[in-house]
Amino acid sequence: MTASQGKRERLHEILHECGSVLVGYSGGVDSVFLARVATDVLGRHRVLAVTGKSASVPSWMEDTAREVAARFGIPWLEVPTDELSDPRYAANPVDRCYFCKTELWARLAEVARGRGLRVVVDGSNADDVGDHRPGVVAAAEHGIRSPLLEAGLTKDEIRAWSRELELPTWDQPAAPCLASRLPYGLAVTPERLRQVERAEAGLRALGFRDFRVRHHGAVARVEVAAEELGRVAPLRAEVAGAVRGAGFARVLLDLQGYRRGALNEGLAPSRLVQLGARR
Amino acid sequence: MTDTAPHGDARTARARDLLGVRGIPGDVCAEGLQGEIAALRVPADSWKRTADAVRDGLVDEVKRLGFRYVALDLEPGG
Repeated sequence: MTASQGKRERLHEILHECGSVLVGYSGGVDSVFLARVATDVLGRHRVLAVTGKSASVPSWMEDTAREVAARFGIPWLEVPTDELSDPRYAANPVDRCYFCKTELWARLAEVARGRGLRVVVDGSNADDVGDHRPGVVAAAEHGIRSPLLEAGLTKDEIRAWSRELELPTWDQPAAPCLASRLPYGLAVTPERLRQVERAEAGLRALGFRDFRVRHHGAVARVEVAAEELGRVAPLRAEVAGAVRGAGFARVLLDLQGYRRGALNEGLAPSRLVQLGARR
Repeated sequence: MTDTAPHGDARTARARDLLGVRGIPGDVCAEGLQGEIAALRVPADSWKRTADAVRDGLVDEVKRLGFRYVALDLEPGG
């Protein structure tokens, strides 16, 4: 048995241990994969995939979540969340994700109780260890399990298995919430989130796949993946127009390109919360 | 914001010098909420040379002046 096969078997075992699950289902690579495997392993009556609907989630993610659930027969529910009304979240501190996830997991745990589902699970995976993730503290407080992480599955393995399962998300770029585009300390407002979403939709329409529009007030700093940077120069007027059209006065192209967690650069290590850590 | 951060003028002048020694025409401004971005305003016909300078370590040199990010203004004349 290969290591990868062993992890697959371990994932099945973990899901059987759970018995029935509510999957925190964002429409991203990991949660889509987990919901699909859980449905295969446990059956439709023991699984519910739930998407938290709020202004911090791009609408294309919500569309993906809905479409994949319908196509693959995954029971699906959308639940509104209201993290923006929490002033601790809206102030955008370094541990903003903790307040968002506290709201999300509280809502989902309530749904799980009401439906008689034994365990709430998320799509954290083995490659998430080491990232700044204050949300993991909220997950721990609500007893959330992470079957992909527990099985030791990496992102590459999840993508490969997703492809085998013909999930359209297998090569989808990572897509954290829109608030992650705002530097810490800049208040999270529906207007700013809409600006980011609109600017990113414009770049996506130009054919860019892996990028971020970072919100610095009147200025947008665009990070594009290294392999796509060469496309910016010939399209510079279109790129600038798309981003300015979202309400930014000036459009800057980051010369280091897209990198995960760029807004965490410069934070003191003591302010970072990593997967596996506890408060 | 533009050049209103502490030491903004000194930082941008030195960043401009880093472009100049590489033969890249243009200007540098401090942008962002706290002047954390060095915005290079370089004519489009010098972008190729700027990309070469990035590979040659320009970003790290500019960041050492006190900027968190180094970026190219997509509309330098705007």
